Amino acid sequence: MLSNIGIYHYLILALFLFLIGLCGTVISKNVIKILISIEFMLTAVNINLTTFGLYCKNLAFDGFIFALFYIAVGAVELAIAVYIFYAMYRQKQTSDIEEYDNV
Amino acid sequence: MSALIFYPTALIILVFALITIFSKKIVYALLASVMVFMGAGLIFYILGAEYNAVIQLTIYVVAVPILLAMAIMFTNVRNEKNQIVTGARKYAIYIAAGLILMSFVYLVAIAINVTPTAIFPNQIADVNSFRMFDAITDGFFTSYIVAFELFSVLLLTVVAGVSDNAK
Repeated sequence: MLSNIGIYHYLILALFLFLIGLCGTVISKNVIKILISIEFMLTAVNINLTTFGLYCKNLAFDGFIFALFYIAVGAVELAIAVYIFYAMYRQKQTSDIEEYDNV
Repeated sequence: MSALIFYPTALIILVFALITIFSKKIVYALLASVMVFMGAGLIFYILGAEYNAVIQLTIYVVAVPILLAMAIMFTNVRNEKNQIVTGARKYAIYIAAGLILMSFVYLVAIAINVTPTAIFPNQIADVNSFRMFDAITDGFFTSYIVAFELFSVLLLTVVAGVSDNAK
């Protein structure tokens, strides 16, 4: 059982990583930490996509291609989020997400 | 062989992800997140997605931490305390997180009992580098050409927008 790594091992790993990312997004007050947690969730989804790309033979590697698109989306999202954070930080001088409730 | 790599990598990913969330110093959290992304790249490699692994390492292990480190350096985030919610709200969030966890576990428990028609756990696709590159280039330039062009426009827009606003 332990020596055979199957689809469920990867899916459960991705599930736990997604949950940790979700938990971090909810409980963190620091904007940078929230962004990192969102990236964890994106990475978990990427692991899922790649796993299904491998185990669904009829998809012909589509999961791998979607994962590449998703990595590009993640990079773009992070660049814009960091820019917005920096623009807000210049006004509020804090990284506490609760201070940005009037944006 | 795969199990020997998978279990330590999965452990590293989950432990460092928890360190990232509960670390009090934001720089340590960033360094721990690099380990998580590196582990994810290794998982991609085990899965046979070598190209994805390379892209993951170049973007998430090099570019993204540098971007976040720049954001940390340009701000005074390092000296701020109390980075996790406190008070009554904390318990409300933990209860909500527990409910979400239980619902996920319930979904997984149902999914395991369902016999999928498109997934063959014992028959994985024949992955090798040439086939994968062939499939990826074929996908990018035939099946998903519109999505590929849209992403190119999106990246260009972001680069132009951020560099224009950074003046």
